[in-house]
Amino acid sequence: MDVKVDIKGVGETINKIQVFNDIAYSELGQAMFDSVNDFINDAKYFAPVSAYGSHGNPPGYLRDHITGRVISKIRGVIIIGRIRSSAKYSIFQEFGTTKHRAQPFMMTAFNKNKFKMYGRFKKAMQTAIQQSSVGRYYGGGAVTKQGPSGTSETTLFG
Amino acid sequence: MLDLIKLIRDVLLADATITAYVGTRIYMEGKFVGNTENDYPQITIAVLDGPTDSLTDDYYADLRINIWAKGSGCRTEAGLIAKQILINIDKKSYLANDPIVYQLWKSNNIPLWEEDTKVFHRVLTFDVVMAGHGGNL
Repeated sequence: MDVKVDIKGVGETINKIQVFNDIAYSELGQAMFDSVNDFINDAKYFAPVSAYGSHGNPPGYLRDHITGRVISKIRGVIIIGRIRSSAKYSIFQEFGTTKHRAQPFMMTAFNKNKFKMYGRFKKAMQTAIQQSSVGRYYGGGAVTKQGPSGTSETTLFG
Repeated sequence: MLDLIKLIRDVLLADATITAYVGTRIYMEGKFVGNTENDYPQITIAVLDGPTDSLTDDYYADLRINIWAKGSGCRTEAGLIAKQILINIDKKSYLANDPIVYQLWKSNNIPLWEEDTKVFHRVLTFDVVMAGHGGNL
């Protein structure tokens, strides 16, 4: 006696997952980029600025040396946002010394943006699920996109 | 509302191993006391304000415990104090009035060295969540 089992739609499912991966990578990458930008702006806002400069550097040296970038590793499986304050005395500003108290600017900026980041990543994942037809299995949905001149475009799934 | 700095100070003062090192030299950050050999090691505690989740009303903050040590073996001494602090308060929760619960867990352990003053500074940072009650610590 022979038992034959056919699984249909494997190729289609793999294709859909691939499409989902591509869209998720793009959406999450954009979310990370926006988050890093917000973080940098806030870190610069909270960074202390000495009117006369410090450590032989001009005023605003610490603030002007806060940079960030988005890195993708293992073909987009990991997306990393890295924010760096490259002034050598940054860590002493952040955590304080025996001579002056801490003026935390990096952690303050992170705390301010924490929930905004979570929300952004959540929205990016939802968009990716809806835009790829993987969302169909979850009952479908609708995606509304804001156009460049105030127009909006809605795509329905399901 | 619970005074987190006071609570942590009391917890640290109740530990005989910690007081054997620092005595009662546990201060709020910004109240650093003295800079002579006799003033070390000492601990300073600070709370960094954080966001409030508007949906759950949970309040988030960072607790920073600074350990300052000077003299020979200061690095080891600060490390031992840090270890003892973590035994006491890593992953802890405290019940305040009503349904307010403080939870804290270690997020970082950073060693720093001040070349000019020859002081070893270790920073322990903790994530704090005050569950179900927004506001300031």
